[in-house]
Amino acid sequence: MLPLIALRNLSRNQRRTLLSLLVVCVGFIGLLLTAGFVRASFVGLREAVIQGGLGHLEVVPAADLGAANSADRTGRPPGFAGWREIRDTIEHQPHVRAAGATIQFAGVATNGGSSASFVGLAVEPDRERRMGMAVRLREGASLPEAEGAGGEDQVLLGVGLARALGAAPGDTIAVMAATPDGSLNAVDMVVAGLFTTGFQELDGRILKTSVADAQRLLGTERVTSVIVGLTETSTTPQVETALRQLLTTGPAPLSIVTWETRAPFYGQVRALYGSIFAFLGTIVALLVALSISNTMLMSVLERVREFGTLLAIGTSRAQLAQMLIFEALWLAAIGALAGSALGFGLVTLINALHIEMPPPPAAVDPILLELLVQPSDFLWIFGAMTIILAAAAIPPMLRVFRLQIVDALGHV
Amino acid sequence: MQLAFEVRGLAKTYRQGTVVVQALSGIDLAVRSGEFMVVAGSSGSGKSTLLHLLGGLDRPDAGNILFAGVDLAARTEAERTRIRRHQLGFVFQSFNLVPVLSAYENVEYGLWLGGMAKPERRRRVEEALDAVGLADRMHHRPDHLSGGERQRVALARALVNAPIAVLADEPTASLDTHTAAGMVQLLIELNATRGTTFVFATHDPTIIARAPRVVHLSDGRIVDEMRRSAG
Repeated sequence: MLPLIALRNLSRNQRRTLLSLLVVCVGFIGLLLTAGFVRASFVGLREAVIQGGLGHLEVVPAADLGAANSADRTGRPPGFAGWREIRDTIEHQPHVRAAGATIQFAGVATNGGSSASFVGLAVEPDRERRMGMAVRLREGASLPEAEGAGGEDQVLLGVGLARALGAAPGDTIAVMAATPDGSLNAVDMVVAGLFTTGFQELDGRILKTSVADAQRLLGTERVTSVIVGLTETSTTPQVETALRQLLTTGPAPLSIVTWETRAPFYGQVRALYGSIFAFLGTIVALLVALSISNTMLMSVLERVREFGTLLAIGTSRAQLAQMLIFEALWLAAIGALAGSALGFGLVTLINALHIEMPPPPAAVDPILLELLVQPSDFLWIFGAMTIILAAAAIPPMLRVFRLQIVDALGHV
Repeated sequence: MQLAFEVRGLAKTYRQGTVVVQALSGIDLAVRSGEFMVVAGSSGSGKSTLLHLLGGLDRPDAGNILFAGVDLAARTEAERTRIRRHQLGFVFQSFNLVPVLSAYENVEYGLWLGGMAKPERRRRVEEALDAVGLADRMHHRPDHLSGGERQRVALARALVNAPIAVLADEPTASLDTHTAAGMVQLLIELNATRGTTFVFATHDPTIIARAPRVVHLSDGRIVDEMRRSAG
């Protein structure tokens, strides 16, 4: 009977109830949109990191594990021998889309009058494409997929590096790098195209070529590592375990490094966004709780004599408190239902509008405002709203607990 | 002779700002089971305070109140709540019905509090509303009932649990003369047929004139008591 009375109590002052529902509804939508935005940002960043070249997993000689960070390995000679067999073995594993060798190196590129140091990344273009790592070309063409296709060594230059060298697609530049024995080697390479990594600073230093061309430049058959691309990011731990069992024993043990280990900034961004979300969530929760609490307190003050009567005829204070809790829960349920419907509509609309936001700091391209909402979001936000509104009912409950029956009966 | 209420040396003071008001002082009173007693007196004489104390709504500063042999002042709030729920009925001057509940639900509420099963509740509520002549208005909410009808709903609510006593504080004060007379007649009939003890606080001379027993209060003391023989 108390839930019924509580529900009907909400109909007493319909305008006030509507305002309360609006507060709950807007709070619900606020949390839903923020959760959707944060998740989309996490997923977007994660996939950008993975498809930007890191892959889901990296197989690297155990001896090089200490230099797991990519930046630390550019100065080291490639140390991964027998990588073709390993790569082919990996590609036969479940959930593996493709695996491809990479070489990280550094050197100097010159285009006649202009020279610039570069960070080099050699890949197997056909496998890179199969792993879903699309090159963001700005001009020209991608690297040829077949080894030796085109009959000459080709490179892609970061747009910033090309600008520094004054190079354009079709130009021939000299690329110099140190070989494993310490001597300097140089080859002429044709600029196939200009590309962007999405980060201005890296665009000013990056040079990309095929593994075969880099091996000719460096005078080695070895590579730095084998990058593994998976069908689903969620299978990363599963494949990591399988590869660990397969590759980490034997005379030349290999190490398996996940993308998360190689991209520590992802965790930092996640922690930062998580803090921002928690901060925003706390503000929303406080606003909703204070607003509803104030409304409920007003409602209690208007019903003092009624509460006195209910106490007089045998209602316990705990039962009155329950009634207030039910009122709060009804508000939470109805508000959350409306918030779910409106929030879902808003999420669909925002995603359909393809709204572009300015590039983040140091990034090149604008980012798409996307909201990734899951069914579980509706559940946990509903749970949060329920807790917030139950908390909002505490001050009115305390007011009821302090009521003196005789005073309440005489209340006007 | 069984006593519904036995009051000895009852006293109660209130503080209004810096002024201490002696609401009741040295009240000795015995109310038999099934008795119909009116507490009469002018405004501020202590009638309502006496009813509040008899109903366990407040604690006295001194004295004892035995209700059906139980010392109300010595009981915890939870125990007094249970006593009010099961053994006492209340009728208030302003009806004090729950506006969001229908007449039926208002009467049913007390039975629900007592944990009674729904079929039994239905039977009792219909019987109580029938007894006060509101069987055909049971699904109306208070704001769709007249003052007299509301007070009859309040009376049905007070009686539905078959309490030992009903305490009514100025129950006819908000009613017109004709309706008030009908209400009093109904109360007298219910008292006669059910044997429920009725204690009334009123200053309405028409009620006082018909009451079998009248206790007059003035300045918190019993100043006069009058009994009429039945018929």
